[in-house]
Amino acid sequence: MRNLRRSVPMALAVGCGLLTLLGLMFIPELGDALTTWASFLAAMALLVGVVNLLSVHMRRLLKGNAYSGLLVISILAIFALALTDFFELTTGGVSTAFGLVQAPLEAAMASLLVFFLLFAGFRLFRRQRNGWSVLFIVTATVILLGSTLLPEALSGIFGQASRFLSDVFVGGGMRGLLIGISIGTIAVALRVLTGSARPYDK
Amino acid sequence: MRTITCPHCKADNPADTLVCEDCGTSLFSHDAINNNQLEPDEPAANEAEQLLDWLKDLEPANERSEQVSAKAADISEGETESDTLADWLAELSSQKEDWEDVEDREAITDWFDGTEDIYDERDSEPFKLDQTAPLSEYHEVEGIPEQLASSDLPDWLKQEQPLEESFFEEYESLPEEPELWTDDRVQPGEALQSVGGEVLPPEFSSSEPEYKSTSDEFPELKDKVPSETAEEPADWYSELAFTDVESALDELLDEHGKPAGDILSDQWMNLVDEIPESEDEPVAKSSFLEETTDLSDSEIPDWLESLKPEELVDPAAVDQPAEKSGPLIGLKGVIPMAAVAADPVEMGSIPEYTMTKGQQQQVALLKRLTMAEPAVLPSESRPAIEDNFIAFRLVIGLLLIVVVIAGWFLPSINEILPGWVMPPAPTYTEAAYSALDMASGRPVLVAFEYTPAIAGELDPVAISFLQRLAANNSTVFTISQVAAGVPVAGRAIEQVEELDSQALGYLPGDAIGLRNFASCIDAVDACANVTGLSLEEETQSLLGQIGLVIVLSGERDAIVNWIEQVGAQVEVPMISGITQAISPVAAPYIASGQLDGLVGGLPAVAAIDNNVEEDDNFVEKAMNSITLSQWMAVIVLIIGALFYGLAGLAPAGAKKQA
Repeated sequence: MRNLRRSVPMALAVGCGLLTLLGLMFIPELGDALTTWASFLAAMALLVGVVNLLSVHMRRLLKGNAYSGLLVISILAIFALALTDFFELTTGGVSTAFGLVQAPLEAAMASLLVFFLLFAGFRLFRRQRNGWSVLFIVTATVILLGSTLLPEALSGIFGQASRFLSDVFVGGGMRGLLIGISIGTIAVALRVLTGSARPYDK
Repeated sequence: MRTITCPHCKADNPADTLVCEDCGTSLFSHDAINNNQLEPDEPAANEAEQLLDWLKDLEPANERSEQVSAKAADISEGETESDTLADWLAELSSQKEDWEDVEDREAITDWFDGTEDIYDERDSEPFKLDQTAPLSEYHEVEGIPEQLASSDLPDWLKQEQPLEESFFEEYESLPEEPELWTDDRVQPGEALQSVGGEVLPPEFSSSEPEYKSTSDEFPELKDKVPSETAEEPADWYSELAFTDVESALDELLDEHGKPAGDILSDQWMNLVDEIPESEDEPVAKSSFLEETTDLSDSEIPDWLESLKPEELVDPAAVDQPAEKSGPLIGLKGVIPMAAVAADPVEMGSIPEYTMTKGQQQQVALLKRLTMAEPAVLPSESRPAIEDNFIAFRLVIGLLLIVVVIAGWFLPSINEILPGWVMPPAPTYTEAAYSALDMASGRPVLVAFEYTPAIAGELDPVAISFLQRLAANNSTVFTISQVAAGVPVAGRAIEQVEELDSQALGYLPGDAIGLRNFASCIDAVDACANVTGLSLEEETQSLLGQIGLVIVLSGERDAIVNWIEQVGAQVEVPMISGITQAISPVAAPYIASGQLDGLVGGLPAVAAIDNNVEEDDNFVEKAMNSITLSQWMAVIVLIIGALFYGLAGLAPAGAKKQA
């Protein structure tokens, strides 16, 4: 029984992986069918996730958790607005709620990142007074000045310096990172196809 | 029944006893053996049968019992033992004739002679009795008086027979399979002979009767020896080495009630009786015994007397009261505790343990190693500079808010600073807008893969693209793999006038969903439905004629998925509008040609559109705020580096001066 619990999922995963791989190379219809099933399963997983989230917080609400109550009310309210929009009882109800609540909150959170980064850069020399800190300060200054309004003489210099840093150093590093990610993806795919890695068995 | 008469008390003892049951005298003496009374009517064939009995014990029972029985029967019918032995000796003689035909006989005989030399050196030497050496040097003869060493030896000890002779005598006396005894290891006869040659009387080391008496008189040894003997010597036989035989004999003699040394000494005493007394040194058996028994009382040293328990020294200590407490409760005569041990020890104050800075750094390093996220440790040589953390944070936060708000409300910076310009846009940014123009009049797919968190940076890019598409009369299809991307797309569409658009909604499945969706783009057979929505025929037709794909993303995975899953399947140009932060991620795809254009954030849009010169424009206001914020960030970074850098150098300079 224990072997079945391990071998059956592995056989399904390896079989589907090989069929998809062969379908993508030789039989496009087969590969498309399998990817369609996967897309459908992903959509169902999202729906199941929303229902599960609602049920979990409903139980926590019954135990007296106020934050769970707020989450349950928000889900139900947005769902009700979507229904009224669908039946044309309201117009743009979901979009209005989104623009008034979610967009400002996410923008505020992202704005805090700018503040933290600037403050960390300001205090960088407080603890790390070495060459790497100097390099960080110089690079950040060049990149910032290379993408803003400057006198015409300085604008060209900082623009070219910023582009040089971005294309050569940052671009070179990112290419190496992408190549490493691609090799890692291939390795993981081979491990899954050969049954060495079973991420579905956790 | 066989009996043995004791030479000392003349009592009859069973044949299997070693010592006399009445007086304890050893029955191995020469006289005792000679006086051995066998039954008078025992025939000669019975003796031969007994000879075969002990040989039978040395042979495997399952293989030779029948042969032995047959030979015993033959002997009983009148055949003599010599006749029986003649057969296998005749076989040996025939083999000897064959042996003479061997060409390499000389070489083999040389080899055999060499083995004989080895045999002589290894096995015969211990059996030779060196008469020049004192007899007491032989460890086997414990209890021999020293006078015996200088006295004349008996006749049996003078017989220094080479081992080969006795060995071949035994060899020839064997009834069959002499190769059993040709093994180079010591045979039982040899072992017994070795014992007899040095310790035991000569009767014990002679040929046939000794073997019979051995098996009969040592039943324990007989039990130890298996009844069957194989072609190859058995394990028990290997154990019968010289020392093992001696130890076995000692063990057996001990079990018979007397120590082996006593028995042997009795035998030697009998031998001493036979030795004529020397004029110089008479046999002093009594003096030897007296030396071992008459011991004078030794004196106990003083230091040992001092260790004697108190109750033995002073019997009155027994009357002392018993202990009433402590671990010795109930004991009498307990020695009182010494005064030094009874006095409480005054402990001095324990010195306070102080940690050095090096130890503190080691502790901090260990803590950092055990932490999930490494933390920066202060350097001992450069300690952290004390500052007003909260004040600096408040100042920087307020400055950021001020410059962002000021940039939004201030007039265009170009008007304030006429000579200031933006850096020139990179070529791939210009290529992106060229691709927009090339898709003029054709439907365009725009993917909104970002959330409201980065809408402030990407909304201007999206609006700029949509405005250009509206001007080119292109139909726009919007789609998103981010749940929040659908309303973001709706808001961006609302800000562009006269734009023909259609929302395809949310596309689940990440890379798989994108690959599946790619089959609907630029396809001959249009998709009937996309993302679960049924499409009208006109929409299906437009979707199959997509002329450009625009990806607006703030994350690396989204842009990579669109490039690798969609761009690799369709022959449709693809451009991307991304944040400045992930511009380096997308740059390699520009170099490889997988992306036809790239717009990195609001500054790129401002550089292309030149909208910063227009009044009341979102891009102008945003660029004002961004410009001021970037200037302020550069100033803050430089001030912080100078402040903390100089403050950190000051203590070092002061130390150098000191």
